[in-house]
Amino acid sequence: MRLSRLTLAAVFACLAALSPGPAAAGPPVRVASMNQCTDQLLLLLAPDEAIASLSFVSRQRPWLDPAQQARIKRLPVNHGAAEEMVRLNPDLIVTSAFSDPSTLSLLRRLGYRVETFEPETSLEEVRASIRRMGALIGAPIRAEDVIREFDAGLDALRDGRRRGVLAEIGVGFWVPGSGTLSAEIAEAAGYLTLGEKLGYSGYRYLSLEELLLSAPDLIALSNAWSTPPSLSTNALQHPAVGRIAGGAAFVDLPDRLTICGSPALLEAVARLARARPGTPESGQ
Amino acid sequence: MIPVGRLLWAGGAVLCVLFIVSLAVGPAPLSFENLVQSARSGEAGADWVILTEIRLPRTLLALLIGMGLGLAGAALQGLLRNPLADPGVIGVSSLSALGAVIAFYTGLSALVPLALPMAAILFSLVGVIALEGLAGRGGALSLILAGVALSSLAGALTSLALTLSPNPYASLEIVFWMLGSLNDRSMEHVVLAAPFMICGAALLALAAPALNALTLGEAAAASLGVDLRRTRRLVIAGASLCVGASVAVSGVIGFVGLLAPHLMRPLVGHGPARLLPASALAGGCLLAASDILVRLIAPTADLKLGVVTALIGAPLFLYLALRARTEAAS
Repeated sequence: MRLSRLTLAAVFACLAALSPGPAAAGPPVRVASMNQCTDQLLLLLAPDEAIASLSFVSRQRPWLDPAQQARIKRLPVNHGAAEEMVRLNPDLIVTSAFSDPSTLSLLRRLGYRVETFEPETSLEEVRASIRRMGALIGAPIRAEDVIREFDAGLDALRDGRRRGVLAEIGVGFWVPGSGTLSAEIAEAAGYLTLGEKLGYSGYRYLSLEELLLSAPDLIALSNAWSTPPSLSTNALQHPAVGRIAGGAAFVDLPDRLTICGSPALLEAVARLARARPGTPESGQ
Repeated sequence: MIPVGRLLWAGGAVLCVLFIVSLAVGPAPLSFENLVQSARSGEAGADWVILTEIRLPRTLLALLIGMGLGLAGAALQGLLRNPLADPGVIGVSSLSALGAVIAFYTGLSALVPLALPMAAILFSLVGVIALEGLAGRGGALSLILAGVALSSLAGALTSLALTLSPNPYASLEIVFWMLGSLNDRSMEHVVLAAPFMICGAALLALAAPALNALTLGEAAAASLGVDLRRTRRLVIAGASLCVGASVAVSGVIGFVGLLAPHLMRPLVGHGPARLLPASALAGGCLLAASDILVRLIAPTADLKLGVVTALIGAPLFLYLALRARTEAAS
């Protein structure tokens, strides 16, 4: 049996009507975010009236961007509960791929459109996430502007100097190796991550003893959540940490700059580059 | 029965060996040359820092906490005249953990470091007094029942306290408080716990002669001139100091207080005066060995200590329960 041209055209017309094209006209979509990284993307690309809600994490002190503080405090927040989403009734829900799967499937069953974002593992994926969020909320041009600005900022910071090995130590002593966004950030600032030097990819738990025997040039300690305390965040203040490699330099790299794939990474690169003057790359 | 003197010497020797092995075991290979060089020049290299600031506190804590728990177990078993009275089994350790969790996660211990062991000791004290009042004279079954109730209550409240903390990492740390670990402890923890544990051990030593008399029964002990109330107070305070201070820095490490006295009884007999020092040594050896095992099984994974002590202790506990049943039947 052959479908007639007319039927095909009708099917396509229906499909087109169903999918809300990226730059659809009409009232702006109201978007709710249930994760701090989708919060950041929304704040970057959407006007306040399009933001139905942000995650409560965006208001917590360690993650609060000083420049956005007033705006974030004005916007409503949610705690990632399905009930809150039903009450908000947004056109679109954006969140991390690691959100509670039972909440997401419940929301989808209730007919909500839920879009999830994977944590970015490279700068290219950061650009892709910005682009995708722009398309979802009908701001593709704004997204391209942001990406262009981000790339220009990165280019301005890259100076081809070599600055040595960076040990970025996260809560629980997780240290990034190759194939991570952290490694690309380090590379943009002229560093090799400790994990790359040790020859592993992804994140790995390094014991305090292994860290003491490694010899990084610069150490960035995770510094979110010193108060209220927890054992794992306090562990980073173990007296031996201060004596890694007989006193390598420490850099103040707030976690909020590196936790998400967003243009906040630019400031992270700038701080890393400033922390050590570096030597010009040989052969250039 | 072995002469206690000889046993203590042998135990001390084992303890020294374990002390050295514990310093030698860890994820990073240490070079003896570098250590000697650091010791000579007085300049602390990485090897030296690993030895003195990571492995030494860990080893000291393993020995101290093992001794404290062994001692507290033996003393409580003597006071309650119940072979199953282990601080972990009867819920006293879980209550200490609750106290420590409240002091730590509210930020109180960040302001006043002493608040951490003090809160754990206070909660432990409440636990021992409550148990003694509820089930001290009700036989093995009522003590265990009260202990089960106390443990689950303390566990639930600990989980509640951790969940209420805004720190996102707090709720994951219930594993530490429930199963115990000595991973990455520092000298600060040794300084925080040791004085309390030494005081507790001294109080328990004072109670030892009276506990000996108590094995004959309360009436007989009283007729021998033993002050029962004083003995009870000494044991309750001593055990609370030992258990509370150890839980405050290591979390709940179960079964040591059960295993140590039971391993020693066939060797030194049932008299608490002989059993207490022997149990302390056995507890120290047991926990130091467990902590070495933890690092050998999973060098970089922070396997919890309570896992290893439970693997050894639970079968013994089952054996004791079975034996109690056959004794009751015959």
